[in-house]
Amino acid sequence: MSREIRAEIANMCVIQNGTKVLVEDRRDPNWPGVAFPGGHVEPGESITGSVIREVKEETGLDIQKPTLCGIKTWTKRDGARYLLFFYKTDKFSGELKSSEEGEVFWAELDALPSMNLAKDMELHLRLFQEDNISELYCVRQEGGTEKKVLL
Amino acid sequence: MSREVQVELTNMCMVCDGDKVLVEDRVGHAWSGITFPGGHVEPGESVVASVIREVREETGLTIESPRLCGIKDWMRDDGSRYIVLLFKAEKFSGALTPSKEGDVFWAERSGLLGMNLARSMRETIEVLLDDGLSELYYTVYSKITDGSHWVLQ
Repeated sequence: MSREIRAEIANMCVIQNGTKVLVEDRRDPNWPGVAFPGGHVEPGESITGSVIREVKEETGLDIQKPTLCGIKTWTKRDGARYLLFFYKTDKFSGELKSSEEGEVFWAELDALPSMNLAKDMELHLRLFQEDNISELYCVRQEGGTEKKVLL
Repeated sequence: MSREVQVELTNMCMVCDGDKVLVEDRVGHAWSGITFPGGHVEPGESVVASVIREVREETGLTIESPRLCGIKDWMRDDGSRYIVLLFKAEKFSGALTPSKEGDVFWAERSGLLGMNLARSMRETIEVLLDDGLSELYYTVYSKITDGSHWVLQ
């Protein structure tokens, strides 16, 4: 019996430099605002490899040793699962260069809550910062609202 | 453009009690030998709930606050990706009860690598024990590491 499911697999990465983190002011109308760089995992690449590639494409930086720190999961309307893998690193090199996804810049971690954050970013921050939290699980309720649980 | 792919999503948990680790001796399966408990993530459940459920079904123990600490994955011939979400748990309750998957018992952490491990468990244990390693990604034959993930190719 096949246990295969349809899924969308993506990544997001926090690059830390002291008290600053690298953010991207996203232009995507589906999810606009200040967020962390990331993107989809391509078939045939490792998830870690996809994080390194996406960060390079969106920021110009080469990161080393990104470590997994959590996952955000939800079920799409078509029944497919969305798996968003969260990584962090403080090792990077190269020159900062924005892509067409949005302007990238360093921001103080403390200043983030007062910025124009993309949806759910406050919860993403907790997933990154709190070691005992592994998952941000989003469930659609009856009536259309969404319940978001940190596990 | 749909970015959807075929995935088989599973979990595995290293349950620790001091220097001891809970192991499962899978007997008579295609993948036999010493492993950690785990199984598939069911539709509609969070991945954390799935690992709590699988560990309870296979060992009788109810774990608390399992922590996601790595991934083991590979591409299959049909183009799908097999993903094992690797967890660690240090808090649990209940009585050890084996299931039909195999016998379960506590083993010394230091003796793990010398046991009759199921195929690929040696590298999986390394990812679970090393906080700096996040992923074990298999391609085909030889072996390289860049320190952030193992790539077997």
